Amino acid sequence: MNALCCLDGTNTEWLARQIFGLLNAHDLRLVLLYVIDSGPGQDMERMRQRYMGIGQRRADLLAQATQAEQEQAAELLAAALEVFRAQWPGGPPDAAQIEATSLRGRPEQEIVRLSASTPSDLIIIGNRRVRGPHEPPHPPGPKSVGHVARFVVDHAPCPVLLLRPA
Amino acid sequence: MKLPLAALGYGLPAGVTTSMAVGIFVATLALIMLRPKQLNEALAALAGGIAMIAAGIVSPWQALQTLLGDWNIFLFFLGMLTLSALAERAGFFDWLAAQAAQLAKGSTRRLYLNVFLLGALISAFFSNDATALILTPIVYSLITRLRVSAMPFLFACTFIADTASFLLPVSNPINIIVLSRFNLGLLDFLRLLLLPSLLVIGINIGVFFLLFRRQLIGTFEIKRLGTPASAIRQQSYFRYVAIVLGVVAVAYLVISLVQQPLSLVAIGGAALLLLGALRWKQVQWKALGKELSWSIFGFIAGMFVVVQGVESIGLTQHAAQLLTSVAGSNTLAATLVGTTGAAVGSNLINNLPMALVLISTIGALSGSTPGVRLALIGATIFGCDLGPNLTTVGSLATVLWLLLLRRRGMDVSSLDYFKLGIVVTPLMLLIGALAIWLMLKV
Repeated sequence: MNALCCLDGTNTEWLARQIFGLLNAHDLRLVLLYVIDSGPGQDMERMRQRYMGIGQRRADLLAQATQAEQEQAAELLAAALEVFRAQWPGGPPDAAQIEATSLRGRPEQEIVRLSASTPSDLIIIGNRRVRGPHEPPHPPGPKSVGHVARFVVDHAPCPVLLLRPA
Repeated sequence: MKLPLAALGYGLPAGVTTSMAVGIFVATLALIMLRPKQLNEALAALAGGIAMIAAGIVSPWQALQTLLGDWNIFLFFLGMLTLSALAERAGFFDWLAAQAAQLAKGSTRRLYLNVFLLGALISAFFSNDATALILTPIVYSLITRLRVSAMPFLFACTFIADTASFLLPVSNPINIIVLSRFNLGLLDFLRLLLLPSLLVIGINIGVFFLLFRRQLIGTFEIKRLGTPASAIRQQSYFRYVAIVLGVVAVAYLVISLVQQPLSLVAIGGAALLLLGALRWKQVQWKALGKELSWSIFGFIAGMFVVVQGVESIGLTQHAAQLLTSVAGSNTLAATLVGTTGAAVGSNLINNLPMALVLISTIGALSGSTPGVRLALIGATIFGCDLGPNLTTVGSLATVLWLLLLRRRGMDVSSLDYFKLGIVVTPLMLLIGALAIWLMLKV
């Protein structure tokens, strides 16, 4: 089974535990995906131009920021691969059984797009990001599913496994 | 000169004219706040101004006189925006941010303090909008590279932008508008607002350190950042920009000391930077017009005429009478009422229109002591500058933070921001207002 596992940068270990508790790792082929959200950066540029009335930031300085985000995504995925390999039931998996990839764009759209083009049999996603280190998780209720997970559930071309903290 | 009511609104009954003016005023503010179909604020304000003229509430001649009379403000905006854009092009702000990171020597807490101080410095000399709209993206990029928790830093940028916006007359365009309408100079400004300014900056930093103490523990690796010099693309242009900005900073102080128009310094500095940018090929003549968006000027011009309309039907005189009856000759009451009114009003109708309404109201005060008048002027600047920290709608700049915080475990709603604003801002407003009152007594 080809499963697309969506990381948000804060929930890797928890996701790994949940997945291996629920799914049979034997016939599992996992793609770990992290999407660099381009929304805030684009909005920020628009805001600058609208309110400050000045043109775009210098291309090389914008590129510095983009590179930093890519490096961060790469580090995050490398760490995630280690976590998943270490927790894989019955020892580390074959190289073909797990891979990691990062994309840039609106996370919800990129997840749906990749799941259609790969194609995936299953999308695995957490219900929403944690609010912050000092904040308790969202209580059950409509707000416990964030906008990314909500969009994926609504638009996915395959079944979705929505994981939420107990 | 105010026209008698009979001369307004094509001879319509005074009640009809008043209703029309209030209707246009409210409709303009509603359009600016609600922005149906992404309507540009400038178009809304200009439409309001044109409606005031079309309804005969403000004559075209009066409108022209007001706009020409406020040339200092328009030129200041033009100069300040150009200065900021060209300094940014030189990598000046990125260089400053990298220096702030270097000086932190790996300590997250020290970096946090440095970001506050840098924000205050940029607000002081380039205005609050420059801190919120130019520094925030730079700090965001910086902390992404340093792998430090982003949220406290982004809050710091957006809050200090407004908190430090009454250190100097040039720190906020509202200060220039108020000072030029009441003919006040640097010393009056500093006497009234320096101590309150330093106090609220201190409170802002202290409370944020307390609130975010858990996220600020630890160190960062400065190696991830590269040297400050990496922000500089053209060494000679950068040096030139640094020198011109130094001269502009000193000239701001000298010119406001001798009560001459500050717009001359801003425009002069901008012209020098522009010459340098052309000399070192950092901008091109053809692209020059696109570097600045002109809508901000439409917004200010439209709002000037709309508020003039409300003024000419005598509405602000009523507000002035109300203010006189509440404050009387008591400077403490005047400061507290003025500050509260300005801060709450800034959050309801945005701070620029609120400042214009208050200026008009203070101008219509009769029979109040000079002390009360000065207290209200100080309170107007203070409340309209700082008040926007209370909610996200208060000033155009604070809208920005929400967009940034959506990312990476920072699912923060405007309610969260409001909670933070509601903790810190009233405290700063109260202590600042008391300090202004104290300074009036000295």
